Amino acid sequence: MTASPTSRRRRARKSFVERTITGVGAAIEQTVYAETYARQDGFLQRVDPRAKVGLFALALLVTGLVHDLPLLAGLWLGLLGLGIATRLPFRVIAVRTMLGVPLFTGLVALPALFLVDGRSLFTIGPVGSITLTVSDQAVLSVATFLLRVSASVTLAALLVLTTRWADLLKALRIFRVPDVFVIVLGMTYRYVFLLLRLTENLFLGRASRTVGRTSSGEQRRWVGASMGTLMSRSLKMSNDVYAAMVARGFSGDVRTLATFRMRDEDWLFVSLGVALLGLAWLVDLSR
Amino acid sequence: MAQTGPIFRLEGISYRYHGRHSALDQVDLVVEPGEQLVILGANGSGKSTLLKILDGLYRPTSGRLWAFGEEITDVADDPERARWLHRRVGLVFQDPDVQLFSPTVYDDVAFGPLQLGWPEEQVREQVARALRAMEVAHLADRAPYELSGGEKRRVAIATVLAMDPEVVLLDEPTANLDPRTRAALVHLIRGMRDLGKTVILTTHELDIVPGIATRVVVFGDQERRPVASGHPSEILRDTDLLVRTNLIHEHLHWHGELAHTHPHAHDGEHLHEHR
Repeated sequence: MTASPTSRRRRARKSFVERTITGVGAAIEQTVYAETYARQDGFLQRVDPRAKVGLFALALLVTGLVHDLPLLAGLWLGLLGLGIATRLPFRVIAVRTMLGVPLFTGLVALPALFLVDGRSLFTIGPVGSITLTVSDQAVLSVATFLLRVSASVTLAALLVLTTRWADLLKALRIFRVPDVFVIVLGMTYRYVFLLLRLTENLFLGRASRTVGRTSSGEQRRWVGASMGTLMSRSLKMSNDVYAAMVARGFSGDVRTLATFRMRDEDWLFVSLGVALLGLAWLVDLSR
Repeated sequence: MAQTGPIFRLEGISYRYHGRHSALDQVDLVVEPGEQLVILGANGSGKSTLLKILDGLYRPTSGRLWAFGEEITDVADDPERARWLHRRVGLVFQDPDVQLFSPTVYDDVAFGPLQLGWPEEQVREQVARALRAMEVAHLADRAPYELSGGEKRRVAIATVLAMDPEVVLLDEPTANLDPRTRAALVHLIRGMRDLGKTVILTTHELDIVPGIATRVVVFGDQERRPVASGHPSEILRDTDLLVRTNLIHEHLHWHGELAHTHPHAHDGEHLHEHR
């Protein structure tokens, strides 16, 4: 069967509308899938979110302070092992921690490879009048930097993947984040989904009525109009939501329910974690 | 103490959006305690606006309004008295996405009782009771975006029941639901009678009326005020009234060579016999 000219063109380059629909759909799907991992019965998933947030924040601090390369490598591998032990698929952790880090952090760290002094390992060039020298200290600095970022990103990924967003927000209260801020964040997260769905439907409606190609000017005009529609819908919705809050007794003072209870296992998790992190820091200081 | 006088009394209530578009015009209405009142009206007849006025969210443009024997015409401008009213009257909005604004079902159902300043233990008890009454206890940890349309409606009602109001206002609670979910919801709403609640429900779906209503008030879509009031069977038999108020329409269709018209409900089934 011969493909139509339109389908050939579409295969070659997705239109702006199609790309947006795909992007919005993927964003929703990804978030919903992330919550499914947080609902699994795993070791980290069972820990009280406040204990997790507190300990992971401390772990981030220690990761930032430690300089010893083997220690950082051990920390990172330990975190990867923790992820697997808590029933997260390795592929999911790898995608979140190993794909982006070398690319973006590597780009940032690349110049340091040629700028830090030390014992010369090898040289590149001369290219024209420039000769680039890579020293042992430069390799060590870049490796330390990459490992530190990898461990930090893995910590963040483990926290987000094993904790439901609603619990994560509530756990912020241990840092004395005001209740009103937590509630507004929660509502934002809640309605982002609704607005994403609305956006998806707007774009799908447009796609279903579009035959052939549209000029870029036309597309820009349509995007402007869609932004306006979305804005007015979200304004109306925010008014309605406020009315719904007032109808249930809201008068400006936020009252919330403490839903978490620290169990013995949570205290044990925090104690062990603090002890290990303290030990790592002491080992680093002694070297 | 049991309410002896009317729950609501409205005299000449009118409401205009932005001072121009008339939504209600000279509404007179009395609602007695324990009534299961269904307000029937076509789209745009002012049903939703009326419920927001009864809940003290909108201030009427003109007319006077009493609830539980106290005048509440200006209650929308008085936060303290509004809270008193919201403690006794709960409103379930037409769009459940508006009502479910918290990250989880449990948080949403607990929101109202918490704002009333109840002790934590009482809040937990009320939340558990409301979740059970609406048969959604298994959804407590879910996020609202994970719920189906029917589940959202039931949770939205639970958010109001948790505050244990004397009056429950329901704005088109069965709109856009499949028949099975709608029947289940009608059953649950009917159960509020056993909880001693006064229910005021707006709809234009005639088939749910007999299962819920002890009295029906029909709003005219042109008049924007009640044009009839009576027992459900009496109202539903009055075909002329239902056609006039745009709740059913004269339907013209063909059977081979035979063309004829007959009344046809918007949402009811299209079943009739030809002799």
